[in-house]
Amino acid sequence: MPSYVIPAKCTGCGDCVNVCPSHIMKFTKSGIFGRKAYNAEPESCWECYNCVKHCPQGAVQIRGYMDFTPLGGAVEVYRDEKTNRVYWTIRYRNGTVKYFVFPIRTTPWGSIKPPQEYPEPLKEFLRTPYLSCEHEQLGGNKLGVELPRMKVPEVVKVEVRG
Amino acid sequence: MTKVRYVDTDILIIGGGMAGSGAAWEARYWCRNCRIVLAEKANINRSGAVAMGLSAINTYMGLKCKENTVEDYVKYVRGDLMGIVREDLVYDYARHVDSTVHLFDEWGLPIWPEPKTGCYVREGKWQIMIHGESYKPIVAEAARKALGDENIFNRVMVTHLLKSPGNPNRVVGAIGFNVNDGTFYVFKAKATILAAGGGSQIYSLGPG
Repeated sequence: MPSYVIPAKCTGCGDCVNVCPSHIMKFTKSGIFGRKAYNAEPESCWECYNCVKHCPQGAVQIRGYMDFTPLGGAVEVYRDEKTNRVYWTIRYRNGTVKYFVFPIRTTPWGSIKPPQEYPEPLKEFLRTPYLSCEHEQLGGNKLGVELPRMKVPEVVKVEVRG
Repeated sequence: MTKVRYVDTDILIIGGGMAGSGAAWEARYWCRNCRIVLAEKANINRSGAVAMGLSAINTYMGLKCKENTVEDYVKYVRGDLMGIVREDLVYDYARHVDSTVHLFDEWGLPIWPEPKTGCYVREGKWQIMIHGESYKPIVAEAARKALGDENIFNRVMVTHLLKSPGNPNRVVGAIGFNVNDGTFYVFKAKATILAAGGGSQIYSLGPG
């Protein structure tokens, strides 16, 4: 089921054009109502729902193809990065509506600790099979190879909890 | 006139899917002063085979809880593929997959833990269940933080690898073009990581 942009709701912000992995969301020529996004090639649509999830206006729906899906059904998605939930709305042709809510993330957006903030590894560590942070993430020596001895820094920070 | 941009870099990563994003993280962890550049044909936030999200991680050993051993997994794959398998490669990714999943958990991917043991809930012998709607944006955030947004070239489709004239077995870069405005890109790199999957036809064979 490809995506369909409701022109009256679309403000032409371009979020769906930016995010579409298949590069098929395009702009119309600017008219008196400004530019609008539309799905230029519904037959090449992956149906990945990214344009639906990233539309701030809720203007993109997923609708069935005319030739094999009963017309009138639609799927809408609202993805909230503040409460970290995704809300699915499934509209059936006969008027039945179903709602689903799922969590999408357990930490706030932008909270990942980047690799350059980890202590810089020794060059000898490259010869071991351990990847980044792997020794700690696995909880010690699980690959059968001991890490080379590190020099113990003189000042050790002790984190006090409680 | 087509514009041409030359990009000089230490490490070039082709493809910004799960593998490319992971390579970006790993490369930055080991090399703090390198310039690392990633070229991706779509937007890295939502690209690759995990763009739409996944509801399970299909390979997780559970070494921490001693659920499976890596040797068991190699035996299973060998039986599943009727013996036509590179066992060393299977062994290698199986032994590293656990720490990667633990990193995803730390970054915020919702994985279901069992309340008593703290191990992950399984839906099969090797699978664990996740709420993976934002799987790719989470991993992409890690990659973007590792490289910096100025080193990520979205909407650049790499078409050919550049080989060294002296040594035809050595790749020294790649060329591609921006699918929006047609700008031609020439990447020159000391090392190239090809993480482009099977669909883009840069590999001579499919993925694997």
